[in-house]
Amino acid sequence: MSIPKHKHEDQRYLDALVNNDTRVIGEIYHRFSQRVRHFVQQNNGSADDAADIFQEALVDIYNQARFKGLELTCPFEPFLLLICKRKWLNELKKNNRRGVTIDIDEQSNIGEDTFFLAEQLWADGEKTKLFKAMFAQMGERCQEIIRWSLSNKPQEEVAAALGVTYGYLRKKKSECMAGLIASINTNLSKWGLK
Amino acid sequence: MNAFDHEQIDRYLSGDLNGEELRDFEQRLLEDANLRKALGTQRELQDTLHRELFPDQRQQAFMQTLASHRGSVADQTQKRREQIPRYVIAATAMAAMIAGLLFFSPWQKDLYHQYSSVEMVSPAERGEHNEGRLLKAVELFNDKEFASAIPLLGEALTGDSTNAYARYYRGIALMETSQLPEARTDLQKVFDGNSLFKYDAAFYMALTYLKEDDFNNSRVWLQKIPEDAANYEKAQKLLNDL
Repeated sequence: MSIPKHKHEDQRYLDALVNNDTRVIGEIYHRFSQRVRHFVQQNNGSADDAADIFQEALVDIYNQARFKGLELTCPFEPFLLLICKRKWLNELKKNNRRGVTIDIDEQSNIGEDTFFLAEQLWADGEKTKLFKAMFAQMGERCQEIIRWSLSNKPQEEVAAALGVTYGYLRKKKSECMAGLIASINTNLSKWGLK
Repeated sequence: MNAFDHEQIDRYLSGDLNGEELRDFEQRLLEDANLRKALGTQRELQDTLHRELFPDQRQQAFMQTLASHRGSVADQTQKRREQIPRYVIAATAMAAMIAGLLFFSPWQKDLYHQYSSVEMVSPAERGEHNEGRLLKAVELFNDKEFASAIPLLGEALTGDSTNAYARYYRGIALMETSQLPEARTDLQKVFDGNSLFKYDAAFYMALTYLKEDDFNNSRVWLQKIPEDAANYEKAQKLLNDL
């Protein structure tokens, strides 16, 4: 049975991301980005790569905090650094670039909780990427139907705009969705996801 | 999962199942773990795609904040790695300043070009005959070959005069080729209808007036765009710039 965890005081960083608190977001960049930059540069990457990885990690945290109610039960810095590290390792692997020689966390005292939370967040971010990649690979017709269907417009209006009947739109959308889900399921393990 | 299950899941998530159908489906959910899992996957997929395809204003503002800090990670190294000649920095600074002036200066007259850029989305109408023609029109439109796209869009309208999609993009293409009265006829028709392009048409109607420096009429059209329209913010921004 899991023991309920208390929110860490660093939850303020997550709140700042969700509320677009520009001052605290500036603080996040100021305090934490240089270690990530250093790590990426020491491991076959550029400052631009580091900027991408850092931004991606913040977006993933934002998405989890805003849309899935993520609460931080560990300190923010090692959590963020671990996510960045995981992302960069994955990048290196994808591009067959040389592996990590210098570790980001060698001097940090990182708890099990942090590893767990960071791994979970990385996996969620990666899943979003997989969803988007598989969606982008679909035929234009399915992409169009899914895109319009997910807009907040009434579906009758969408059907009219697409020049099809409502019944056809519904049937086609569920076919397209089924195809998309099948391709996602086929690729989950290739992407290192469960 | 078969096609019927997928359709049921889809309808359930759209709030489209009622009465007995809804009760049956919920009963099946209780009993069938696979169905529950499939429902969970589709819900997650739809939520994610919706969030990614239609970011709200808060997401957009957040992304802007991150973009404004990006330089603090990327820049410092560049300075250390390669010494950039001073004249390049000076030229870049000058270019940035000029770009800034062009964008923000109240006296500049080229708001039209700032706001008129639009990509044509791929055709939604799926008649076999139309598909190739409209795909070609998309290609030409997005290559800014507006004059060549116009007749193709016209053909689509000859086949179906209610096609708001073709009419909307033809209106923009006509505007881009400075056939303003013709552009307005198309855009007005789209605005009078109830298609998804209704308020986009109002926006481009405003641009047709902006193109001939008729700021009053331009404002009138921008003010027709209601707060809940997707392009409301853009319209307000242009109103301010005017």
